[in-house]
Amino acid sequence: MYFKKEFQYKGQMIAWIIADIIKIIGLCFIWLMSAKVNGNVEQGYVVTYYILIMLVSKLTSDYTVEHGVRNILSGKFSNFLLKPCNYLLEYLGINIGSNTLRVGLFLPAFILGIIIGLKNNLWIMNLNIFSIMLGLVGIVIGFLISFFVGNIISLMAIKIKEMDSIRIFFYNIASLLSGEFIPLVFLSGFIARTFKLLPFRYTLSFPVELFIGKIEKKEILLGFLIAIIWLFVLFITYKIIYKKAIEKYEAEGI
Amino acid sequence: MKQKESKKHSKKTFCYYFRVWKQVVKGGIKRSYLYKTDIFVRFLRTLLVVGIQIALLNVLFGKSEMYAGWSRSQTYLVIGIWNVLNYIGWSLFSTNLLYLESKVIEGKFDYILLKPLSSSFYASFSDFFITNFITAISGFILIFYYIIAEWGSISFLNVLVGIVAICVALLIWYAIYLFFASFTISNPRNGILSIAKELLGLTKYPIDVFGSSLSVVFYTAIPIAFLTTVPANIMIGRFSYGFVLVGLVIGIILLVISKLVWNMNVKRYSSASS
Repeated sequence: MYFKKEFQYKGQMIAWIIADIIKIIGLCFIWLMSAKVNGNVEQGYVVTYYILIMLVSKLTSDYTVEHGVRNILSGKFSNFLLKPCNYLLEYLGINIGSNTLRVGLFLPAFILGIIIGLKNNLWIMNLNIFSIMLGLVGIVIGFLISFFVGNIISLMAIKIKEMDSIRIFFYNIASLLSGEFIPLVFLSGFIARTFKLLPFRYTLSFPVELFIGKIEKKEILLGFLIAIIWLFVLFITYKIIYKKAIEKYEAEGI
Repeated sequence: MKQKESKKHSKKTFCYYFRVWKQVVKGGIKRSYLYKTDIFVRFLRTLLVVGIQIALLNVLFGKSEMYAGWSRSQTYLVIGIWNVLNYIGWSLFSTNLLYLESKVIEGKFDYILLKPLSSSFYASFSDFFITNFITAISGFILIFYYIIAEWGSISFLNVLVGIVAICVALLIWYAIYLFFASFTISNPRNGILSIAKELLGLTKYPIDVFGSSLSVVFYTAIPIAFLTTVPANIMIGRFSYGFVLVGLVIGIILLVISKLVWNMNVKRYSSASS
């Protein structure tokens, strides 16, 4: 259903592809310059990181913070509650459909990025099956973390009616801590440790690090352990908040 | 005589439009009393935006003193100007133009066309979003940081002309947004504003980052260098004041083109309600 709906607007898809290409070129230039002036990080790593970040972000994104909040504020959330299956399943379907579509649309830019990277010796990812498998597992965990964080935030709409600022504030925090703005290799000491302890890294930077393969085995194990603990914590938190929030839900429909 | 009349008329029109916009701003401010949490979160976000950008620049610079020929405080200035343009843009027109799509789909654009105002004006300035205006403070903080950091070497005149250049940049920003948004009227859900967003996002950093060949493109064919790099260079004292005039001419040309494209798309508009 989602695909059919989205495919009505082909122009929008082309525009998204162009926007992705502009973004990827911009990010590569900015971090390449940084790698050039600092000389502390391999330029190839930066370019590969950003090309992969764009791909992984399409796979681990969660849109519940947008449509979930809208459903609560408009009162449509009641329809989901009346259905014979858990509303999370439908939300999951919307997210997976949306992400699959976005990945498909991003592929031309992704391939272009790899070709440019390879031609300039800036693509450093090896086609290692083990790294790819680990990366894919990382993506699944990352997506689920994003999904539960998104659902927890969207439940806030039951109490707070003006959610725009909170939503944008959340996006800013998540983008900063996930490694979208700053690759983790540029950080050190306490800041790097904090980034590793919070859940956001596992929604973006960690799967990319796994794909690139320049991560130690100890770091991989520790990363997965932290990610799974976060997934469990977020699921329990979601359950508790949902139980309390649903008692206050009034389906007013603003 | 005719010329005098036309001047008088345009003055009246300008005053009329200004009065309409003043009411819109008043409405926007009044609405902010309703959503106090929103305002509070916006203030927090302003601090977060500044924090993120400073952290990001520190990482970009690393141990180096210069980045693409720009010092740390000069880069703060560029990002500050970008924040001012971006968030003031969101509070004045960008959000309205973003909502244009839903208005066209729901058939509400008919009401815009029926108003005794220019449709592009009303579609762009029909609401004022004070929350975005608050986030623009992050830009002023970074610009003030530059002024304080370079207090000894800064020229007051350069700062004043730089402010004029920022106003010109806002005009160019608006023209670019209006150009891209106008296609929504004849073809809604085209996603074209996402291109504008990414294109304008490139100006968050000095244009010199993109190398000499792309820089030429950004000064000529796609003149986004006039948004942040040129005003910053004028404030620093690297560029002559003539660049403001060039920017103004570019802004006016872009605005005229945007208006023509807008009118062209209005002609192709078919109301959803008909």
